[in-house]
Amino acid sequence: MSFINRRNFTKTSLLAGGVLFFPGCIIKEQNSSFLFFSHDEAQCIISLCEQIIPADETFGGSTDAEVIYYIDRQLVSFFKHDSVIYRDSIKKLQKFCIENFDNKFNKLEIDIQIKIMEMMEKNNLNNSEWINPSIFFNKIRLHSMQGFYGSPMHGGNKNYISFDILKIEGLLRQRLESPSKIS
Amino acid sequence: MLHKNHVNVVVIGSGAGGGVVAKELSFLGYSVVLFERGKWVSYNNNSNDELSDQRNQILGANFGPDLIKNPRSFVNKFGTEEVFNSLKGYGNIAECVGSGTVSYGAMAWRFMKEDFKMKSIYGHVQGSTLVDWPISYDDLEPYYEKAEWEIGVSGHNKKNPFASNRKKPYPMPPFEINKEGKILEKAAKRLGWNPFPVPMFRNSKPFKGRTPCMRNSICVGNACPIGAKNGTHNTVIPLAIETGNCDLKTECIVSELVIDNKSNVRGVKYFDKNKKMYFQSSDIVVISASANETARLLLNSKSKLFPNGAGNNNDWVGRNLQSHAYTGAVGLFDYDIIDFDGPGANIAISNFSHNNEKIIGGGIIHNEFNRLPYQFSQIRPQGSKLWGLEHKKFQINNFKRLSRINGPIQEMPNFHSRVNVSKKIKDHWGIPVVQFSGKRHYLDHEHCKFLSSKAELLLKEAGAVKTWKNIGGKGQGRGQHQAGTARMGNDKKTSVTNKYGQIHEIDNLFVADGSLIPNNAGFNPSLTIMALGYWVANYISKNFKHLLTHQ
Repeated sequence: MSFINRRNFTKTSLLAGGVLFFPGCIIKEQNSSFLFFSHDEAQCIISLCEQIIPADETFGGSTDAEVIYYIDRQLVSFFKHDSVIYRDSIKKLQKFCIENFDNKFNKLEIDIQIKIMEMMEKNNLNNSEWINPSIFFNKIRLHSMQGFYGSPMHGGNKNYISFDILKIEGLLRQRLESPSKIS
Repeated sequence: MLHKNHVNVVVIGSGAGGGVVAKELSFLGYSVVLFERGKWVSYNNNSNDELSDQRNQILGANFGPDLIKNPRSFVNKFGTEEVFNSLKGYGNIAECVGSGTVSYGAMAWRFMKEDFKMKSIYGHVQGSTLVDWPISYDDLEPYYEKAEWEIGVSGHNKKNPFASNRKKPYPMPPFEINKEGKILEKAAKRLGWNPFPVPMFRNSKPFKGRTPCMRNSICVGNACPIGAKNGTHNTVIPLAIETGNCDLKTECIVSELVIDNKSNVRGVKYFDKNKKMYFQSSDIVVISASANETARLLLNSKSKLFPNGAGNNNDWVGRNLQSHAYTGAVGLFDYDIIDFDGPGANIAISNFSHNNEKIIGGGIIHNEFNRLPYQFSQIRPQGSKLWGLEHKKFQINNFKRLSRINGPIQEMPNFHSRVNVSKKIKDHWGIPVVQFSGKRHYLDHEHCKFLSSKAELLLKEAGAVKTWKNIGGKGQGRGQHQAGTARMGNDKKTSVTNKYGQIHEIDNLFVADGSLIPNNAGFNPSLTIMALGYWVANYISKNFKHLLTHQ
């Protein structure tokens, strides 16, 4: 039931102008603010992240938290070793979607996106030459969680969105802001 | 290579062991150079974010080391060498003045009498190098006391009936138990167990000019904003420097011990922060660089009499690597049980440290340190969705409703779990790096099952509506609490040092850190490492007095 609720909510909000789903990141991307992703790659990653931590009736999800910026930034620094698997996996995912659904992943209906992701998680993508999609899926799953629930200082968790959701802003925010950050 | 003025003692590493040794010997008048490869750090070096704190280390570690300059490798399941591409599994110990004592959770455990006599009590364990220590609890007791009073520990003197005897009470009273702790305390008593407050290196009252703890909810993995968490960086090291006899050299990495043809160490080679190499000569060298780095330095120091590394003629250096397999259970409550009073962990149970049926040793269990949002996102009941709306809802509904009971199991040491030095990989300074191989003894996982079942029992008794176990004990123990790689012993054929931390056959070379520990007990080892620092320093001060009169 909850999936249906969220899907309805998603559609409603898109129809209503999509305020939640057209966040600043897309605009900024046109100004070449991504360090690693191309425009097309970013659209694919944004869609994957949004299904990993989706917006619901009350609270925003990965897109609102700008999780894409967390992942983008880490792929040229701490997660440099993962840059190849990200690039390859996006290509493989888009190929699979075009061959099977005549469209890119990020253009598909949300319930189809979720189905595909469930198949990726279980290494069960039918008609695909992609043997181990779960390796990539687990990476982007963890990276999304980090970008959503970690500190905004690394990109992601925009406006402390997850701390507000968990009602711990008073507990964490002051202490996150107080020290001067080292590089 | 430039030569520095001769000193009495070189101490390598300023953590729990080295800080203590430097203070003890400089107080007595010995001239000391204390080497630290990191810098002074403070609260301002915290990110206060769990992704880069010293506990999670997903985006590096605030207090070092830097992975690029300090690579390490491991032998993978195919038998080939692989370099770590993140700090996961790296076996990290903080690289800063005070090392892990700056950012630790600060539990201040004494080991128990039984932990020093494991082989006598439990007999030979197939596939394990389990032994009796060459010293007893009673030998170390005065040094535990000294560590508690000089570094500063708060604790309850009577509530743990399993604690071995102490002559002097804790210097500070225990902390008040938090909401979760009170609920667990009552449940434990109903089970007939003996709950008590965790002893902590944190000030429960003003202590030696420093302020009491403010119960910061983000404590473990970070430095304290007000200096109420006690490590060597804010206690013994400043005192050592004040004597005028201790020269702390930060951002200096020791690459090699120089050992002559008469079996004496003459000093050390080191690089300063500009990567310039020097020779520091000394009468005595004490290595306190942590179990991984101490073994690396010994193995990298080859000489005519010790072609396989200093003290390694019997192939025991780097062997016996152990840490602690953490294990426990999780309980979900139908009300908010977590109040985020820092640091979180504060109630412990020692009923299962020994005297368990079919278990060799055991471990304490305690409620966990406060969990931050990312760490929480990785805790779910078995079979739960790991992403999507259901996962998010669980996070929102249960963030303050989940209690986790954990504990460190006493690992069974084994010969094949080890630190070696890589033949191929070198660090920023050109020094061969740590290479890990081997894994834990199979019994560790079995023992973890036992301790986890006790943790789950407690959560059920406390009223958890859903519980599940998380059972540790696989893989290799090499991270926090690392120990055993230069074990002390009476027989030089099966140990690296004698019972005073003195390397067999090199009379002026000592070890004073977790490397000495033959079996790591079922407790966090930092207080024991400090006590060993006092123990080793005491031996040096009594047997090298002639150095003082010749100055």
